[in-house]
Amino acid sequence: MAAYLLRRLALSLPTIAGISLLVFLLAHLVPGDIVDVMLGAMRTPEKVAQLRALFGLDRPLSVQFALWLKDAMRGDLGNSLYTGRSVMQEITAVLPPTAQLAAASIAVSVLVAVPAGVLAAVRQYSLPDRIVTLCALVGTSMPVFWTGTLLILLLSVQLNWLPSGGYADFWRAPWQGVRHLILPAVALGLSSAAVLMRITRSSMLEVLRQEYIRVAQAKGLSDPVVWTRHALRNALIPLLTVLGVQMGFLLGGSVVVEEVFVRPGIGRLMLMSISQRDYPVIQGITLFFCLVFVLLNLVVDILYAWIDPRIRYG
Amino acid sequence: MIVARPARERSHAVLLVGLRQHGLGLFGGVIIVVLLGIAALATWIAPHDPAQMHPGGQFRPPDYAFLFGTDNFGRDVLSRVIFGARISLHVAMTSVSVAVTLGVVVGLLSGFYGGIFDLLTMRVMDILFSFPSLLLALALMGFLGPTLTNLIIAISIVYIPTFARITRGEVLVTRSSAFVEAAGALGASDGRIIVRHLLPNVLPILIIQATTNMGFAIIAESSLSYLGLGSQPPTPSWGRMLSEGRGFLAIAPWTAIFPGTALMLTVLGFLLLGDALRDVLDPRLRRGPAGQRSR
Repeated sequence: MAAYLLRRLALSLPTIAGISLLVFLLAHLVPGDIVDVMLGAMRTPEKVAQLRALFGLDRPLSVQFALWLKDAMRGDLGNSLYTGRSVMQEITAVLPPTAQLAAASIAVSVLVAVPAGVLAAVRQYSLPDRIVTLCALVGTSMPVFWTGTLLILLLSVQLNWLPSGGYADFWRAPWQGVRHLILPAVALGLSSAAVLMRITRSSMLEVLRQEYIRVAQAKGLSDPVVWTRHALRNALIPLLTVLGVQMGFLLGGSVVVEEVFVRPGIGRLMLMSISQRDYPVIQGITLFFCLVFVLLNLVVDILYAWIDPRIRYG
Repeated sequence: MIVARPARERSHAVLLVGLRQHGLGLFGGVIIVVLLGIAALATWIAPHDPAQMHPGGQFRPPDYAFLFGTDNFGRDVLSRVIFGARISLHVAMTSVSVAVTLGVVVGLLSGFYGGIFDLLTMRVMDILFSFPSLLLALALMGFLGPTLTNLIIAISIVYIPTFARITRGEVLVTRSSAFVEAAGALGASDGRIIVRHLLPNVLPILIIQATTNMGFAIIAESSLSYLGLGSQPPTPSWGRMLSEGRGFLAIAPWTAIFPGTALMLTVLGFLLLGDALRDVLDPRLRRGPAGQRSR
């Protein structure tokens, strides 16, 4: 397992290096000179020269990248052009709401998708199967902001059960924190659940056709025991891989959900930075999200190898 | 006398018969055809100018004069939904076409020639794949600026790796086939082998993937428009209409419901058609559902 872990970690390094290079180059996509864009009407040749020297833009691109990477590896992603605070400070200040949203939406996604997928598989071609398949199809077609809007319309506007937006600190006011988290987490979780449902169903169907399932049934084990202890355990393996891919969707989706529910977080910080042309923050958040995505996939891969020994010895 | 029909005509017939037997796929196809018709004829079928504000007519509920009601500026929601179809389809079709073209060129060349070109391009594709797709589009829009052209560029870049990988994979399998080796032995040039022998084998899987990706491109376009990074006012876009309607859900829910439903039906249409094409064109691909790639 240790050898596999090291090999997998080593494989992540070129990806991280590539991501860093691409994120660095993104800032050079700005039409015209980035310093001109930053200074706007206050542009004078002296100020331009001063800023170019300050950001190291007067040096060759390779040197700029090496310096930027060196700083980034120490957690220094530069300073916000708008607030003057460090980008890491800006990100960590709004990290808790986004982390809560991501964790809650993964929980919603798995709690909805796995039981529904299993039900559809063990009752193939029945009414519940058709309902689950239809829900999965419709769910895949629904952008997260549309799901969010419908939830607000039904549960906030019509029934007045939950707040339509905003945020409450979970540690100071736990009940309010949970109330403000439910709708965003359900909106984001359901969008991801649609894909997971289909995977759980197809994966369970495949496992249920295996010989060892018939053996378990022949031994006289009850259906729920066969489904949960024998079939589901093995069906969950492909689900883990898809869950890793879905993490990317959840991270991207969190930006949209935070906007729909007017909830503070890294996504809204990114949108604000885009509207303020605060390029170091945009760059920092993009790098941060990508690294989280790579890290989560690494964790998924390690879990995968832990569950399925064929992977680590393969 | 029996006259053999040309292969292309036969494959069209197989496709049509297959789709006709695939109920949901047919439903998806009908949605797409209707939508294309609406987008093409928007100027003639929209009851009002989508940008025209009707004084005193703000938040008018659906009635005979305004079937989908009016928005906060007194604009006809139905006309805006009709013209919104044009924007969504234009962005999705153009970005998927660009992604297919560039992805196929990269995939064909790297799969056929291999070597350092293959290594380099595939590493770049891997890196692009390591970005959550919406986040990559968002970051690109953040640096490029919110215009319709940049929106198309951003969505194209997000989907290029999908097509490059699929094409390369198929080329690697087909390259060692006897018919390709025979073509080479007969003196066919690399270009001829690629265009006449390899590309036709990749086409079915590309058609399937492009159809499914059209749905996801529409989601990406509307999401970015919802966030204010897509088409700019007063251009009607379903995502932007939903974003504008978000603030008035309590008093005028129709401003969000109609564009949202149109958006969902359109994506559903492309996904259903993609699934059906998968079954009809390539039975090997029935194993996985559409949309496993993160949206």
